[in-house]
Amino acid sequence: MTQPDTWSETAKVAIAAQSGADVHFDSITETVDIDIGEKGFDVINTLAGGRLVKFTPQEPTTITLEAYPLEAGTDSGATGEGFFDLMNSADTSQPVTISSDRDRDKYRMSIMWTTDTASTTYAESQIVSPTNSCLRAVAADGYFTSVKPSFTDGVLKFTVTYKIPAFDKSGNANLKIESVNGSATATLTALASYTSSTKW
Amino acid sequence: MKYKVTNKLECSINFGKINFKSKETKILDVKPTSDRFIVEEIEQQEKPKKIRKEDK
Repeated sequence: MTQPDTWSETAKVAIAAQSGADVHFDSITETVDIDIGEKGFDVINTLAGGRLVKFTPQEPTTITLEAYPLEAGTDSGATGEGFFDLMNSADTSQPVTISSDRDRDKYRMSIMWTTDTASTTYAESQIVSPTNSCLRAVAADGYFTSVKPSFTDGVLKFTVTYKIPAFDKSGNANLKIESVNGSATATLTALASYTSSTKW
Repeated sequence: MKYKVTNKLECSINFGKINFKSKETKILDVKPTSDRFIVEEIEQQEKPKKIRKEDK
C-alpha cells in the first residue's frame, strides 16, 4: 500500500501502567500534541568573534491530550474511561473513587498513525510492511503531571499532560519514534508488555 | 467463598477502600471483577463438627 500524503484525521493512543495491559484512549481523545524536549545549546562568545557551543542536556518531552472521558478513571478493561487514575492511585471497582495522593506511578504512552484500519490494530500492535505503513511515537517511564477538566465551552474536556525525561537513571532512552514506509518488506514489531525492566 | 487477590501492577491500586501495594496479595470475601487483579478462589475447609455429649 502506498503511503498517504499526510497522516490525518485518525490516530491510535494507548497507555500502559507497569505490568498492566495497554489501555486504549483514542475513542475519547480529540487531539495529541508531542512537544519533544529541546536538545539545545548555549553559545559562548569569544574575544576573537567566534562562537563556542556549550551543549545543554535535553529537556523533558511533554505529550498533551485533549479528551472527553465520562468517568474518573478506568476501573477495568482495555478501553480508557478516565484520567484521574493516571495521576493518582487507580480504583478498580464501581463507584470509581480516586483521591489525591502522593504516589508517582510510571506509565508508557504509545501514539500511532497507520494505514492499517483493522479494529484490532492498536497503538502497541505490530504493523507489517509492504501491506501497511505507520509512524509511531513511544514514551516510557513518564508521569502524568496534570489532568485539567474544563467546561467553558459547554462540554467537559480534559487536558492531560504526560511528561517524560529523555533518559532513565542509567542513561537508556525513554523515547523512541519509529516507522515503516509500506514499500519495503519490514515489520514494525508489537511493543512488549511494559514493566519496570522492559520499556517496549 | 474467599478469594486470594493479587495486584498485577507495579503500582499501588485501590479496590474500593482496600489499598493494594504493588504485587500485594490479600484474602477477600468479595471477588473483584477488574482485570488489574489475579483472582484465585480459596476452597474453605469445612469446620469440624462439634461432638455432642450424647454421641460419645
